[in-house]
Amino acid sequence: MFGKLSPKNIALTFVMCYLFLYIIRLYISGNLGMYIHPRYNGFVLFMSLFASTALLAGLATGYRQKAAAHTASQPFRLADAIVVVFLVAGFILPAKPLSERTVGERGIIIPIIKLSNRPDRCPTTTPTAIRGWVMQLSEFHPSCNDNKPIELVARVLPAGSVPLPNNMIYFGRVVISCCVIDARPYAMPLINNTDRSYASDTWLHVFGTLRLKTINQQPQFVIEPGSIKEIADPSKPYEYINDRSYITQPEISQ
Amino acid sequence: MKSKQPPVRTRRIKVPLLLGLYPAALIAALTWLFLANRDNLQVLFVSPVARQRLVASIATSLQDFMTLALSIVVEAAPFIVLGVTVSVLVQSFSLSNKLLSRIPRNKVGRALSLSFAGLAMPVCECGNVPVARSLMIKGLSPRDSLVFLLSAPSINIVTFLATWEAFNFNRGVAVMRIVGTLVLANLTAYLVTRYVRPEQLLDKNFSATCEARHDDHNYSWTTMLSLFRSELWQIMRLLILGACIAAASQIVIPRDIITSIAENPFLAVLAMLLLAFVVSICSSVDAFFALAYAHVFSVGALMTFLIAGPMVDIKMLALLKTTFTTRTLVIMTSSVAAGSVIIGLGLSYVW
Repeated sequence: MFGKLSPKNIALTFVMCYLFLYIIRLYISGNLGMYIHPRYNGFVLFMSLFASTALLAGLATGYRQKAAAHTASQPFRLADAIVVVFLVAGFILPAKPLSERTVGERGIIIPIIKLSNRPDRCPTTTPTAIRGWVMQLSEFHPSCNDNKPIELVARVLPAGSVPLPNNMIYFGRVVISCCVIDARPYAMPLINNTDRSYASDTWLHVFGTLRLKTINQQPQFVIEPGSIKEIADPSKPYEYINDRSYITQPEISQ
Repeated sequence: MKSKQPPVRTRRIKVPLLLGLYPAALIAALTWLFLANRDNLQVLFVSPVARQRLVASIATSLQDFMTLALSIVVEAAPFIVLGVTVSVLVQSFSLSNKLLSRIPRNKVGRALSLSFAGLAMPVCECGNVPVARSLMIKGLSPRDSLVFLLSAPSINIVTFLATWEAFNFNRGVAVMRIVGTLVLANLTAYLVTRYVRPEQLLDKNFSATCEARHDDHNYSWTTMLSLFRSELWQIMRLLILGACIAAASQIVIPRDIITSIAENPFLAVLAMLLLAFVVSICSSVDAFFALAYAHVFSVGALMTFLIAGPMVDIKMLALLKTTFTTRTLVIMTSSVAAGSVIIGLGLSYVW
């Protein structure tokens, strides 16, 4: 029935094809960014197509002609079964961002204000995303950025190990360098001058001004908001290093 | 005439591995679930609400585990496909003979050319493993392949430029990374071959493969595609297992605990070494990841991360297990860990 192919080789081919077709499906549905940096998208798509084609071609050619014996796979073992179960389970579960708890346990990166930086050397560009702001505020003297206007779309993050005063919340995004395994939250304190309390994971669109304050006996920039608007969860929740295409436009909730 | 007595055979009773594997895996899984949900367990027996919360917490942990593990698989799989493709081509078209003949015979030239071979293969370290395997099948020594595997991820154009850009406030980091990697890769390869006997260096199955395929070339399309499938599966299965371990460790070990000990130079270096091992990030972008810690950790500690990470992390060790024995990997890991700590400590005090 299978020509000169063994059932094991057929099973392995389909399992691996399933993996690469799943990756292709992630690309088509726009969910590849839930796992990896978009810089890899083209390469991932191309290699997945290539691998699927090569695997299926191997089935087609192997049907009629037997391959050399020493190219055969090793016997199917328990570890292989665990891998197959993992793959099937992984592809059934929908792609979701990391939970608030896992994000909180990674330690929030906030600006580190250095008064030793030269005050005459100031930035000439304005960041548009949270990581850019955190890096800029850490790199330059605080006088360069005090009272600057700021506009950000980000979410409320859990406090983690560094608490804030009662009227402040951590406001930021999870940033990815390569893939979700290295994701880290970048954030800044946001003064909540409304009468609402914002739960962790709430997405906000904030217009405000940067103010230099003392928090936990350290100088720290906080965002003094002019307006805070709660918005819908964006389809692309992560920020990616050196990639501006994923800085989302605010998706305003009705 | 005496009849021939049959030889007395001593039966070795082998305890099936499964009998030990199932309980061990179950204990490991339960321990992981306990550690990931330790805050909820104390009220488990108190109220139904607490039990519901625990179930939700376990579900969240499992979802995060799958997300993290899949991210490694999705990111690394294309590089492994590329590496396996190159590996099959090298084996099939006698390219290996041409490549191996170009390597200088004198020790210094050989070490340098293998250390800088990554310039021709600027990919994630995952892709280098199948290429190294194919070269070993065709005659490259394990020591030479180790030099290539340990140095190629860091000594290539992409990684150098990424490090140069990320640490633009201290360009010396990019240069020191190359120097440190060069020294440590060659030293580690020397130590491994010094303290591991030749017959104990390579995995038995891989050794058998080397013997079977050493003189083979000019494969048919059917054989090449069959080789592609079998090599891809061999490496992918261990990548997936390594990804699962890396994901589980990230959920169990809160990262902010690792990074909370930056003030002590020695502990800072150890923390970055542990972080490098657990995070399992690609060398082409790890400089940006390390940059996030630049204001908290010393340059020496960051250098430990940048040098040790591409050499030994959970994912890489899982991939190398397809080729080398556990003993080889233990000595290799110990050497890289000790060497990178020494480099990191030295730079912490000098730089």
